[in-house]
Amino acid sequence: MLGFDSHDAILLTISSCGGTLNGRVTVQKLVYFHTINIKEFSPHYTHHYYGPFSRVVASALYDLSAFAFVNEIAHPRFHEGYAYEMTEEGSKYAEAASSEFPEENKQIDETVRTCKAFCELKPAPLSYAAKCHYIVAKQGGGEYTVDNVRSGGKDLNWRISDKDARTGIDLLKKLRLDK
Amino acid sequence: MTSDGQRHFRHKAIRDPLYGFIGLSEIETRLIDTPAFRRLHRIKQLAHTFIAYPSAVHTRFEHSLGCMDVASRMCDELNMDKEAKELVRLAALLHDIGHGPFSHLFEGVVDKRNHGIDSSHEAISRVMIEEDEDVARVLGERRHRVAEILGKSAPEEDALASSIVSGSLDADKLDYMLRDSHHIGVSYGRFDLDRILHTIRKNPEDDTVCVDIRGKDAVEGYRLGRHLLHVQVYHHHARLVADKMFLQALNAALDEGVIDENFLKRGQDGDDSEFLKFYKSLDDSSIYEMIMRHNSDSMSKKILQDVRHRRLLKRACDFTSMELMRNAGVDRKLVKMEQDDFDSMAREVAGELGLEAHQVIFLKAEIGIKLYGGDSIQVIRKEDVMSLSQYSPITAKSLVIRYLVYGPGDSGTRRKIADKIAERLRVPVRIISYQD
Repeated sequence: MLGFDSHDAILLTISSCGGTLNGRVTVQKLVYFHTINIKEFSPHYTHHYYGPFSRVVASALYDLSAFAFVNEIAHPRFHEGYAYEMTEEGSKYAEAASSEFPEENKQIDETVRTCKAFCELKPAPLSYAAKCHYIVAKQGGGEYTVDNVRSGGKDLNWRISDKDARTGIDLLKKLRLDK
Repeated sequence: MTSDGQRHFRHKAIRDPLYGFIGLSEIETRLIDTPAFRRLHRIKQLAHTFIAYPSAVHTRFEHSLGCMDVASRMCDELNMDKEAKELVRLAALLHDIGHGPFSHLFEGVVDKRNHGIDSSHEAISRVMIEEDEDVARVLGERRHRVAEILGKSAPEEDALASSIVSGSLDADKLDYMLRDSHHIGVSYGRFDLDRILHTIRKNPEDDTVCVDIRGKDAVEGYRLGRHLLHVQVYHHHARLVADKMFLQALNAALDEGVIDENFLKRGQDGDDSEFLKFYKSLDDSSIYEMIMRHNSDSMSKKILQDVRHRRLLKRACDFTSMELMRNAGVDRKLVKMEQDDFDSMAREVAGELGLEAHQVIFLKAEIGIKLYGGDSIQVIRKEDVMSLSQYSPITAKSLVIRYLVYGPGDSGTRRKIADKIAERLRVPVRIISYQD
């Protein structure tokens, strides 16, 4: 049996979102939260201008689109740029993955539900939260305060306003990832 | 720029097939004469592409000069001052100084032997700039800032400089696309460089390079050119297999002890002097020589001889992800397979057919992402900054994964290989086989 990986995480996330998800940034940041919640799942996130970014996740999204498990729909003039829509084959894939990894699926559902309630899955608040978590993790797990986040952000060349830091920390609290 | 400033960068002029003459300052002239930089003259820009396109033998040396020239013009268009321009030019000139033999091929080999230590050519470039005695002597204290500009986390005040040298629309790509097209003799990679240079702007949101909306179509030409170069040149089936065979030879040479792998390990305690000493002795020819001159009748020598005499493996299968989905459907296992899994499958098939392990190659190549993927090129209209895809009429889905399986020259053996692969992937052989 193959272990739980980024392909599974992405398809289960899109499935939890009702079959469609807007934006590459949204995919990256939701999967980032899963890496904190799900044991032995670490697609190696690194520092990127727009927040934590994983090449492994980007490549898995590419695979899923290349095999038409998801349709990548380009939206010129639409802010998110791309939307990901699960195909019929993708639904079968997600179904198989959810029965193979029920605990992981439950966790993904919960994360998506919380983020949806908080910000309708808009990329910016998800990015702020992911940045806040990444910064504090880099500091070795300090306190989630605006000052801590802003000063740690500077070291990574992330310009984070007080308001953005507060939004990020609030979402992490809702996700219970602020410990 | 004052005439004094212009004279500063005209200490020496070097003829270039693309830009006429490239001017160099005194420091730049001294830098290109250091042994570490001269080494780039012996590293081909496009590894084994010459096997498919015979004139693709231009080197990292002229590309580095070209990159510096384009970066310099970008600085002028962005009204950067002399000091900033000087730094950008130095960073552009030295951006590839850490390349190993056969460009990106060697990078993977070094990376495998340095877990947890960044061993990309960019990282090695930074180490060379900081620690190579000759380079450090010429640059003095400025070497730290130049290395920082080439780093992943350049300081905020160097965001623009860093974006000119390494960004989504940087001097590196602008030069290599034109240069590769020129030397290979293809027109796929040509685009309107002057129009792009005239329309680049500083992105007010993050101080990186972006393009005025009036340059949008020139940038579309650049994106399309990049895509076509990938499809037609960088992913040419003969080049891919020659590169892979060379890698097999190199890995065999390391296993056989023809090359001591300890020399490829970066200093664990931060002392890279031994590593650098060996690394700087390497170039395209020296690697070939090391393997070919070795006395033993080694596997590495045998494989390399095949590359040298263009006795390349031939295609047994050539298919794409969409062909599989349309005609056979695939299970989750195939989607999750990485190159290492395909390597194991190739070895198994070779074993079952009584062939040597290196005689079957299974490659996964990603095509299409260079055109539309990771769309981070920003355009600016009045004060509004947006990604190019939001304006582009040609933004569309175009993702393909291409799979190539190679085997020995005789078609009977390659048919057997295709049968074995089809069996493992659980798809009809007619869909994946290269031969009729």
